[in-house]
Amino acid sequence: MIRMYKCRIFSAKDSDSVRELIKTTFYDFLDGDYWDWKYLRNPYFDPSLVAVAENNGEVIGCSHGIPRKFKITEDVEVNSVLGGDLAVRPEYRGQGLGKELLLQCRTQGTIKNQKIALFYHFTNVNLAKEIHIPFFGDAEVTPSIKQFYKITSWKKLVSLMEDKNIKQALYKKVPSGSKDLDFIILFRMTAAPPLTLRFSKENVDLSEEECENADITIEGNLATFTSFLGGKNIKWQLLKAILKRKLKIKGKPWKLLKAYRDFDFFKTFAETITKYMR
Amino acid sequence: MEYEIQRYREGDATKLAELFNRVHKRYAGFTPRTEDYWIWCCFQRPDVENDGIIIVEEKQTREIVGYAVLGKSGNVWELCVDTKAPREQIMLIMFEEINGYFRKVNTDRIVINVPSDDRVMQETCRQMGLAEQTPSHMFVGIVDFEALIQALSKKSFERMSVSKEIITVKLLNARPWINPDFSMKIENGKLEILPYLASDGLTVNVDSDIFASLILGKTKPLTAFVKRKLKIRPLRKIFRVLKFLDSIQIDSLWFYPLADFG
Repeated sequence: MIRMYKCRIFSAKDSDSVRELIKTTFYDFLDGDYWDWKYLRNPYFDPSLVAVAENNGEVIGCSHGIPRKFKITEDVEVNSVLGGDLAVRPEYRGQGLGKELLLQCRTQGTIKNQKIALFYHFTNVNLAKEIHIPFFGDAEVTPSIKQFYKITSWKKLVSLMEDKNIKQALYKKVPSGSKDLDFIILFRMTAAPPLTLRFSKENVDLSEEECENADITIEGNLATFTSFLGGKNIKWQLLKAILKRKLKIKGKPWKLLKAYRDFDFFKTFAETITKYMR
Repeated sequence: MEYEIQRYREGDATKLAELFNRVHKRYAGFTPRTEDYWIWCCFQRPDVENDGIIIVEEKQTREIVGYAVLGKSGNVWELCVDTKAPREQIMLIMFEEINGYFRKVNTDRIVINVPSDDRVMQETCRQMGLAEQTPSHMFVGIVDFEALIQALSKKSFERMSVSKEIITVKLLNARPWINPDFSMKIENGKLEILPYLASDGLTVNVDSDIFASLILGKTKPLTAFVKRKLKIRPLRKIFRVLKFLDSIQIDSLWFYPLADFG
């Protein structure tokens, strides 16, 4: 394949394109002037640690690094770089561009000149297994952290499902054998209000309520449930969670069988929702 | 003791950064706070309004004993309570205020990172109806072994008694941006990276990724040696090398608040 793009260091004239690329890639994740704050207004911002890829003068990808002091023990700190947002336009994905952008950032002269000892980043595990671990030799560290969460309202999710475009996109993915979708699923998860999901042939509807005549009820830890999404062997993971009693699934047997048959649709549904929820 | 809630005032940043560093002193894995960094990271964060910075002060002395930086997104970017103060009492005052703020801005979720050895904070989170989930995965890549070892030697030589030695490390399968061979001179409790490759002393041959995992505390030096992933010459000096490698392992608890994520 002939490579159509080139990678180079960021310059001020790229700001608008990079800002737009980040916005479209990460949707409304921390909206406002997030990118300007995180990079341009960062007192430690170093443009040489930001790489952009361009094709015919158009920015098609970018990766960011932010120089920082980093504590590695109680009393030792080193110069480091926090790997930031990596974005590649959808039509250019799968060609190794992301890897090249990360490489551009990691091999900058700045790294040697400023005696940067390490890179660290918070990356999706699958991406890390595909790129960061084999290609860059990065290792996962186990932090001493417990993360707590609470869903106080499902309003964002409910309003998402009122968006016709999302519904249409979703229904395009209904497998041909699943045209008789007809389910009421109740989610009763820890640290979250109850959520009822109503599927029919033409419509999907979400509401923050405890439905009494649900066909299927899913109970347990929301984090366990969402941790499967985007991973491999979802069915197996789900079964493991049920056997370990982390999740309980109750319902009318024929509905459960039907849901099992339409599993791929539910998986797509959950992944679509997660994508927009970031 | 009586405490009261304040909102962020100009000039608080220095005290808040100091409190953050003091409270998190025993941890690693984050950026130490300076005034400039704290202002950018918390006060100027687009997700944080002035009202979202909650400060707890001791009423008499006006000493700041805790603070929380709350985002409209529902993220508790930083939460800090002085270890010398009555933490349970302060935490309850703060969480009431935190809940009030999140109700006011009508957020749909709350997320907070808590150190895994901080039982008081965890218990308070559970009392507030929060549940646990897996934190973000953190990955580290070493790009300059010499700089890292030099920095680590500061702590390691307090507990290490390798007298005078020259150690040459030869990294196999090193990435192109990593210097694959370097020598270190240890003398009088100090480590110096030599600008040349020493021809005498002892030599350690090790795969670059294995060496990184030894430093990051993911593999024990003895295990690597037993599995023949660590080759030492001359072999009779094996215990010296293992002791040296043990001493430069990073074994601290790593904790980062959500603010360090991005």
